[in-house]
Amino acid sequence: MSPRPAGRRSPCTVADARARLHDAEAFLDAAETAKDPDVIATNAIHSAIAAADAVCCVALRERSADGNHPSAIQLLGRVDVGLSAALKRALDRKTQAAYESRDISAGDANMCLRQATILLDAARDRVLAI
Amino acid sequence: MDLGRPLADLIPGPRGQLLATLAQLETPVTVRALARYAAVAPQTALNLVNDLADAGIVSAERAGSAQLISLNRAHLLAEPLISLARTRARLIQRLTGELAAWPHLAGAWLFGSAARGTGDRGSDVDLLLVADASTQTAQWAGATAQLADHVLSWTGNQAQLVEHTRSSFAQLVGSDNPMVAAVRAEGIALTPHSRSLLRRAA
Repeated sequence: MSPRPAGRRSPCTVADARARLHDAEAFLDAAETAKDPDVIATNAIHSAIAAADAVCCVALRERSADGNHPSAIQLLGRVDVGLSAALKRALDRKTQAAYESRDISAGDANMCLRQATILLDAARDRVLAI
Repeated sequence: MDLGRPLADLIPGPRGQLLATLAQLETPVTVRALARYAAVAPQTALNLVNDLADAGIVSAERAGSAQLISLNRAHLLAEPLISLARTRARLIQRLTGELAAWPHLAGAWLFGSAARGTGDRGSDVDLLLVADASTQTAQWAGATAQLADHVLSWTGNQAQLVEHTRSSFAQLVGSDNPMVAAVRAEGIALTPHSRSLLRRAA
């Protein structure tokens, strides 16, 4: 059994999983309709986080609860290392997209969209199994 | 078919509930937690876990004084079990596959209890279909009748089809119709352009 990851976690239910999947879809929708790369990336990253929560809620019945990115990535890694890598790639762009004056590139914004889509597909697949 | 718990049609009762939950979980849990997630009485869960462990279907490991249970994913029965647990996903794949061949379809969604995962054997499969132009053509009527037949044949449940054209759908969206709210909140898009259609109609 893998070690329990650090960071605060909270229990969650299948209803929470459905709600977070809905959040993930709404954020991805907003990302896909945005024009500005920072806005695309920020919404895609929010979608990725929500989708990761949905996956964890179904598979582990708990989710990361403290905004600590490494612990959220580690927790998702208990379910699927490929998905945790996708979340890490998206979260690595979060600070620049959301807080820095230097704009994120269109390529990086599209990369965030791709990672969010991977996570959303995985979340949908799991939520449909409940 | 029990649209909320398809496995219950093949394995009714607590055993099916427990197996469906084990198929979802990707981490070992205590019997008490498993019982809670599966909505099964703890003693019933313990008896079932012991029986499933005898068959090698669940693995048990000790963690301190607790026993942690998980599905033995290497077991020959694990793969068909996981596949059965994903029946609703397969329904959506079939719907998506069938609708991909429709030439004049602007958008389609599964909504209602089948989308929420809360339906049962008596539930309809609610589908919203938006035609590019008219819904009064022989081709459209034939396609919708065939779709309803297929849904009944795949699931044993009746399809409830709500049909609109692009213009009548736009009016519906503009009037804050409760069905549109349900589609927004819990609908599952069945064609690639459904989400953008809903966005544009808003």
